[in-house]
Amino acid sequence: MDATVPLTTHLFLLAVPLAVSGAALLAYLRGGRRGR
Amino acid sequence: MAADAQIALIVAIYLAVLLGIGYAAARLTRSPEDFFLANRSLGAWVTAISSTASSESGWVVLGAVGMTYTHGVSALWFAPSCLAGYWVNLYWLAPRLRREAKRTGSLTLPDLLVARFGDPLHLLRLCSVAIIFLSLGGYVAAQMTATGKAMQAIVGVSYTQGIALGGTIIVAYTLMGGFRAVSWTDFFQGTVMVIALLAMPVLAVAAAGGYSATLERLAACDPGLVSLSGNRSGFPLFGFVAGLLGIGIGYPGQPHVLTRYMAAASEETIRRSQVIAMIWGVLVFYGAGFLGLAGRLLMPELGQGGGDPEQLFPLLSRALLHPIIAGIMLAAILSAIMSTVSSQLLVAASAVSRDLFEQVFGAVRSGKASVLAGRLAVLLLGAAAMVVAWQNVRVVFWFVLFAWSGMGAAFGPVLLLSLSGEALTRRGALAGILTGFGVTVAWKLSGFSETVIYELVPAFLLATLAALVVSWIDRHWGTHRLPGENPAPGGR
Repeated sequence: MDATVPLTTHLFLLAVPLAVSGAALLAYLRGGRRGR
Repeated sequence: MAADAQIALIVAIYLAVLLGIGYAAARLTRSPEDFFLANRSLGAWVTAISSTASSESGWVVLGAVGMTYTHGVSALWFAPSCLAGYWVNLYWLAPRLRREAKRTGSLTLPDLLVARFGDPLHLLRLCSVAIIFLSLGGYVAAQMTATGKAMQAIVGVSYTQGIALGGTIIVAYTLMGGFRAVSWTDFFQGTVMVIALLAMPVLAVAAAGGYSATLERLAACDPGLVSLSGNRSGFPLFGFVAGLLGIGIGYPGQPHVLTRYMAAASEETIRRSQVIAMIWGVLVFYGAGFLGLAGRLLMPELGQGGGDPEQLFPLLSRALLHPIIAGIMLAAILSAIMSTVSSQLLVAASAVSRDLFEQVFGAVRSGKASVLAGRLAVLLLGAAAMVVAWQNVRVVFWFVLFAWSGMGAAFGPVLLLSLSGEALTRRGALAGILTGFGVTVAWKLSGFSETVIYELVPAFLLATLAALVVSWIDRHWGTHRLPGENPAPGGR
């Protein structure tokens, strides 16, 4: 990655959406296991 | 066939699908529960995508794209904020709301509040109806204007013809199939939106040289475009970020979104809809953001004098894509607008027919009459909104300024508190609703929204405080109770 783009920007653009999607998937899978 | 004709053909097919869905839904609509809440039968995909599509209007495909184009990455603070709003709605509010609505037989948001707190003088219902009607009525008219402009830009008809064509189709399918038609068309429209906001940013970022090259080229233009603060510091930075983060706290108070959760078929439906809606939100919000970022490099002329960054989506679709595919992308703009307007039209109509004429005036006595009154309200309100949009009646659009924040602050805190325990009393709920809406209007009129912070933030906090303080006073000193008022806090 180029130094002119701050690391926080990459985290904001890539890690936040991935973390939100991952958390939603995890909550769904955990809920399903609990349901069974 | 010419490019414009091919685009018009795709839009015509899209509009025909909406009418077909309305007709199919009409065949299943018999009772008031059908018309106002699809007989509480929505599946997970429809609950998820119709709730999200109805909450995101043309703003997400036009406004949010333009905002990211103009301000860069810092404008994307709205995305985590909206996703946090989705999270609270889906994981906390939705299951409780569905359970409570089913237990009390509530069909509308005012129904639910009245069932919870009691309402001997109809004050709670009348205040709720007034706020919903003022906010959503103006909103529907404004969205009719947006429909007319979008039809004009996409299909090439005149503004008036655009309102007549788009508005008639919205009113027709809402009137025919009620909540079921609105939810099914929202699902279809939400799917078109997510496809467009997935495809367009991928193409745009690829055309700009890829992810890293896009950010590096933006940084070379202006380092502020790729920083989270956008070259701001101190109070301007706080106001900008807090304002964007504040958008998200409006979600728990939007009646046209909350009714989807009330209509979900089961707890399992809600559980499955949570993950679908969250991923839809991620794709749509970040899609709009990446499109705005790459679009700044692909169409820099839009940011200069005379250009409008909010036109990036339609202009880039036409520039990059085959007319047939561009037609599908442009249908996404209509989808975003129409999915919101039909949901708002139905809720505004239900506020008049169900809450006012049926519950307050007692003028509607049978299920059949209730459905007829609902359809009549949709027809009259829809026609009035089309006339307002056509005649450009400015005073009506004034209410749009307060619609999202006004309803968010009026209903959000009261709903969250009332479903979380026994803290609220009827008077507390009423105080919260009036404070939320009143502070929103006062803050907006004072100009503080532009100079200090987005009005929803103080209005939400003060509404919470008012609801809690008045409830506390009511419980400790409020001995006088009216006939029919529930003695126990929370109405249980």
